[in-house]
Amino acid sequence: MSQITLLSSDNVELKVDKEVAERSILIKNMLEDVGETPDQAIPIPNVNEGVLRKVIEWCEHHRNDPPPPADEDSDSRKKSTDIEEWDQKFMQVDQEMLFEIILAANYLDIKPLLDVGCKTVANMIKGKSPEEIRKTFNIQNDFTPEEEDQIRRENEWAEDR
Amino acid sequence: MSDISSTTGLRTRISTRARSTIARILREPPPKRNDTPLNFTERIPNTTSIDEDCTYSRADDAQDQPRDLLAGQGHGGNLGPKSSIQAWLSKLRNNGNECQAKSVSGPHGGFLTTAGQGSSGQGKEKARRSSVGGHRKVFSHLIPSGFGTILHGVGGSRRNSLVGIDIMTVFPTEIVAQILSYLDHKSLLSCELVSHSWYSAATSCHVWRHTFEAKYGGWKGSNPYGRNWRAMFEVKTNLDKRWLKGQAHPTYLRGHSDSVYCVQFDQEKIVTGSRDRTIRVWNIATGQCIKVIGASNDSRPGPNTIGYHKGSILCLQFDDTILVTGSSDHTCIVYSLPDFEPYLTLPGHRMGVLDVCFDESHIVSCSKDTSICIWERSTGLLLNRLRGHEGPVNAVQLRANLVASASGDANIKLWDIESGNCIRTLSGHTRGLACIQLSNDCRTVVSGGNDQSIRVWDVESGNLRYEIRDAHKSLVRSLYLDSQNDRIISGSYDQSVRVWDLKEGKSLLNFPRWHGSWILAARADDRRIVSTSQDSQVLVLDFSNGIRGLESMFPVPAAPVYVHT
Repeated sequence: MSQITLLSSDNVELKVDKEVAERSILIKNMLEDVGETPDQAIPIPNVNEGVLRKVIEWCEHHRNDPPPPADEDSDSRKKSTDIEEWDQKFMQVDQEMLFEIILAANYLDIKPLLDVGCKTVANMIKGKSPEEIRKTFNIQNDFTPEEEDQIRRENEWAEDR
Repeated sequence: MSDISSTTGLRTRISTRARSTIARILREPPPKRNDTPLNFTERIPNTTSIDEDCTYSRADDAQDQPRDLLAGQGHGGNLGPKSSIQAWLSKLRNNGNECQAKSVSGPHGGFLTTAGQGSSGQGKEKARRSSVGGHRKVFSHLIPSGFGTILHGVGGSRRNSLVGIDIMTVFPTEIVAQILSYLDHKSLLSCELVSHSWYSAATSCHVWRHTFEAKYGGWKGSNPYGRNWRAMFEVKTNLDKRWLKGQAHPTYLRGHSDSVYCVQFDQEKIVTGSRDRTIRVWNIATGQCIKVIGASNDSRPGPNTIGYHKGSILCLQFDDTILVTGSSDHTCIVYSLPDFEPYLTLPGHRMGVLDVCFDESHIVSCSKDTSICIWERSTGLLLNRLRGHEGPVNAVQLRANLVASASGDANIKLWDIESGNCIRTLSGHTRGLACIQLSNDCRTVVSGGNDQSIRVWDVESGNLRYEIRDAHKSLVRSLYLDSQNDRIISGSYDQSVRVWDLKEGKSLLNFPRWHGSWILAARADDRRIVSTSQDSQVLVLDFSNGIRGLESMFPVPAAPVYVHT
């Protein structure tokens, strides 16, 4: 099994199986462009060691997954509650790490990881009141009472009556 | 809007991060491979407004507080630093330019100057200097294509885990849209009330398209782009409520002088056929009759060498290019649309034509003479005659290659249109059948007749799926299956129109005595039920009347297509 070395933004070298690293389409395409297994570390300048380790952990676990379906629509229509158990546990990290993982997945082009991350955040929003969402994400309410009333009136149609 | 706010958010975080980075750089000798600032050189040129930056910096400053302070503050309020920061803020707002200049020439001036000029060239140069060898050129494309590591404290310290982070300030628009697209509509409406930036993100059409499709499936016949999916969701929700409560606005169309046997309608027009031997075309929006075809006083010279029906119009179907009618005069007539000029007669039945339907290549008619005729649509050539029923064939339906017929002999037959073979006979009704429907996917048959029941059959197995016993108090004369909404509409000689749930046969709505006599035909779409009666009237029950934003879902036809004659 050939291995490659990734270099995190904080200059830590991490060895990883090529097959695992290729869960990242960005790295996969790049390795294809190079045409051979590089003997130098590949810099991943936007991802620090802690996040990169988490991402590699995910890729290790999912190394044998079939490629995601090409049909964008059917893929994205899956319900947000639809997260497999291992992934749910994997995503039990603090918000900061969760968001870093999502950004790294987006940057490294690991769509299934991006999906799981986005679903996890969606589940943090689902079913909550505006105030609860503000608390969850530490957001200041910047609406005036008049603006709030206006939006509530606009959305009256959704009430069950 | 959302992308603006998320960009400014990014910048805020970056400048906060930048500050601490700079502080560290000042304290420590520069690391050998200084990749980190490259991240910022990519991000900072995106930023625009210094004001926005300052607004958001409240929270960020709070996050830079030591942890014990943060814990005391709880999640929401950063009240302590707020007031002094606001004073600082307003000062900055008063001379934004100066503020910008200051920040560039401040302690992190060197860094920000590099960043502010967006000198990615310099960035690349740094990358090259910190080279990892010969592959550097190939790898370098990795560097500018991403975004910065924009959260702080990751990896080791986790010092901010108690305080949430606004996703609008962290993620680019497309990630925010993906997150929100997993939400149901009620959660999305909650999001709209969180803050201005959340409002912008949660009202995006892209997000609502997913939410709409997750709940209602795709929307037929429409270009998904440029549609207002949020408005459509609102319309659909309001429509569903009206259907649930049976709130419909009635309009009676008067003009026929005898029983109205058949009807079909689209978003522009209603076409009806009557015992008075005429076909009428009505403007569905206004209820005006815009055309009468086959009137006895219609003696104008014209290209019509076919003539009109000499008996009752018993059945009809139209699409965008043709109308086909069947009559008690034993014939079918084919008319061209939109002018409704008759151009083809289909003679072949020995008795009245009781039902008719067609697809792209065939026209299928059934008759009191117990036979079913298959015609070539383009030429009117009789291709095949299906025999097998032992009574009048009262109704026929065609989907894909499958013909379903219902007869006075109480049997349903399924036929292969190409071979003309009867594939299956469905028996069970105890008296003669009047009507039949095939679902769009050809898996379900719905039938009704003189035993007052409605039966739902599985085409594949031929088994009865369920029976609605005593669906009506008299003959079930007409059935319409709305596959899109899983509704069955039935009309009966008991003078009522009823709506049933297709999946379980549950009764949804009942409109008794809206007509003064037998119901002869009833059809429906997403927003209306149109029924016709022996009382010579047409009733339009409009569930969409007055709903806001209706045109987002049902675009108004560009111009009137039909001319009054």
